Amino acid sequence: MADVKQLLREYIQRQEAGGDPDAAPFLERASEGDRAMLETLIDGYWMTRPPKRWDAEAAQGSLAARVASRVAETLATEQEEPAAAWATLRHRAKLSREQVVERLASALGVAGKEQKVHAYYHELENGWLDSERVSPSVFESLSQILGASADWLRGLGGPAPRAASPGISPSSVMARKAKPDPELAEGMASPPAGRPVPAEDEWDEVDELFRGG
Amino acid sequence: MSPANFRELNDAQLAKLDDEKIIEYIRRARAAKRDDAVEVAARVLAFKHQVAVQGYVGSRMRRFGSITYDEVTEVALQDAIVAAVNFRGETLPEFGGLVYRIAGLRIADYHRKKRLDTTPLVFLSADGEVVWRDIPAPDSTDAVIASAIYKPVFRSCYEALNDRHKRVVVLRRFDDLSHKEVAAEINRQLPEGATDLMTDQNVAKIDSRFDECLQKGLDEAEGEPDHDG
Repeated sequence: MADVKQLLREYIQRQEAGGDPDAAPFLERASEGDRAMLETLIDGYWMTRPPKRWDAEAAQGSLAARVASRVAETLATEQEEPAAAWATLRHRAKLSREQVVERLASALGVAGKEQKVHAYYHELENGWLDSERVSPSVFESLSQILGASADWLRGLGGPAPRAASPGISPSSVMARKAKPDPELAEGMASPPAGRPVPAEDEWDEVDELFRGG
Repeated sequence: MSPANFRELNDAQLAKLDDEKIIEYIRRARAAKRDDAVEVAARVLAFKHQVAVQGYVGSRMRRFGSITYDEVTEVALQDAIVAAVNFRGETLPEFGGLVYRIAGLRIADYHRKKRLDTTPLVFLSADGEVVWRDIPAPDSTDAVIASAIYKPVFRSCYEALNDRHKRVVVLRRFDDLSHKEVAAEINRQLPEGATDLMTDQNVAKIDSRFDECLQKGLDEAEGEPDHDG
């Protein structure tokens, strides 16, 4: 068995000669008792490397440039209004709203009920749904579809509908009122459309997923 | 500083700032809705760390191919910058430590899922701890995953040293200089007339204490489950 110092030296020499960084062959040559120390020192070798000097030309098209573009996109999306943020996410995932709905319905096991899912998704995008009452599985599925974390997507929805009082979506308010409250209706971007308001006996798994709490 | 007072810096000016100042600059650029300035600063910060993080990730997952480890590096750097910019606690964790912690989680996640999940997965708690969103912590009982998870041993021993002693460790361990050569190199950088010269014995002592610290850390880590993530 080669000793830790010797193996570390060989590893570093290989790096400095432009070799690949795989530590596995070196770790395999270390005794079991030395392996963790060698691994730690290889970590240390990378962690103590002096920062790369800025080179604008080399940075063009580099991994760092790709990182920066995604960072800027992520940070910009995070401070957008919810509706704009959802649109950006869809755009980034190269999906139309209909495609998102179709995938969401399928992922939630409610294929065939796309129209109702679409109406709820529309409410969600506009911040009209109380996201605390939306099932985690909805955000988990959207997380996979849109490539954003489920927690963050839930946060986009906000704790309560923006145009209504806490915990009440515009459609549910309308379901309880024969005539919509003009004060409530004012300020809504557009009323949720396409989803029939469920009577209690029409409540189904889609309602449960989006409003079940 | 209000967004209206945001003063843009060019890439060369940003490259002279330390990590913490670049992160602060990105926050101000973001508040001023200057996505272009955010991107330039993020590029400078990522570029500084790119080679080291690529090497760190590659050392642990080169066998999966360079494309894979480059992708993991990209996502880890992105996560680390976004998490640092979004951090609202009092003391921002050192960016270097943060990026390796996140890279370790990303590597472990890759091993677990056998694919790269590009979903933003991490944020920082108010205490500066990395919190892994949505998915369970990597299974530290799986040997491959456990070996991929970031081990803070080196960093915690190293960060406890002053700058001069850090330089001793790097010269001795990674540049393979003798005790005498390390002492000469350190003394060469001292201002003329300095009296606190480094001796071979000093170097040997620092070196041996650092060894002890690493060994102690490894022994302790062996006896306890991994908590990172």
